[in-house]
Amino acid sequence: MNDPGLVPYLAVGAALFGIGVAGILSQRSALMVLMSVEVVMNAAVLTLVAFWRFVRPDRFDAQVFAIVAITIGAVEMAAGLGLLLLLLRQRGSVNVDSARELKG
Amino acid sequence: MTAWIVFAALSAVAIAAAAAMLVTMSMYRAGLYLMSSLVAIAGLFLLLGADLLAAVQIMMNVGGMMVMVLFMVMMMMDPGGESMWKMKRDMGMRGPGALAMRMPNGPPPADPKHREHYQMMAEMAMTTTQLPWAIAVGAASAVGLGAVAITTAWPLATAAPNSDASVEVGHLLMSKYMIAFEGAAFLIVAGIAGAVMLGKREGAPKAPPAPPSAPAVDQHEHLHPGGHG
Repeated sequence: MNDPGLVPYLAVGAALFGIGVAGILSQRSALMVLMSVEVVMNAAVLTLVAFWRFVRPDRFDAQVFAIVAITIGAVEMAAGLGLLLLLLRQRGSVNVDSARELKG
Repeated sequence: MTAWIVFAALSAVAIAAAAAMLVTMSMYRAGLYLMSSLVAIAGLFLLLGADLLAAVQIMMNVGGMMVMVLFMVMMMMDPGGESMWKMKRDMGMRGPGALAMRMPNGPPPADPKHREHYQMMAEMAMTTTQLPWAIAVGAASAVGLGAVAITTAWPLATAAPNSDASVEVGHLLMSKYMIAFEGAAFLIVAGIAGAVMLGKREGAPKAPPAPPSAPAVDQHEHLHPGGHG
């Protein structure tokens, strides 16, 4: 039997993406929503790396792209945590449905 | 064959941990589950031959997750989820973990006993009323993406990457993708500044009140014995 090819990796990425989408849509705590976003981002990066390995292994541009994507994910996490801290101070909870009004 | 076994183990951990993150009642455990999912994905990167990305993944994402777990322990009322478990047990609710803690649907019932239960759930619920739809959309997108992955004829390459990835990526970052690299640096600075600005406590005491004058003078003289600048 050969080593796992492109399609198994894409299937894992698809499963992770689905789990992340379900989490984003269903969770009530903004912290859990942020963590589900992280799952989706990782599914995307996994897919990207799989494509690099099996479609264009001679070009390393995809890895640069993945590094930039991971960086953006980390920054998004930091900014999101700052927002959560603000929300927690103002309203006493981080539930997304307690932040229906945008006015402070 | 070995690669298949490693692949199956890593992807099972990645998917199961991501699912367990949504099911567990404890925020703290959810963070740890996400961390193990990220580590398993780093293992998949290694299996794909992207060593540099595996290292980056562990350093940035897993490290960031660790900070998030610390945040949870500091900020959440009940990071371990113990009171949630107790409530779930007391109410005799069935279903997998947090997915059972769903927001009640519709108007509050008239019966006072049920009404109390309703209000408690409305306050403590961990998932919204949209949970079945969310699961359906997630499953549908996973199945759809999987179908696309299987049915598309990908232009596969037969060659394996032969040169050292970190050297190549370093050269690319410093030549062709210089602007992206610098832009990422700028983005990180902006992100730090934004997070600090958002997290800054408004109307906080600006400085501690000045200490009584005598000790301050002592300290001053202690620091500058000559007293002549």
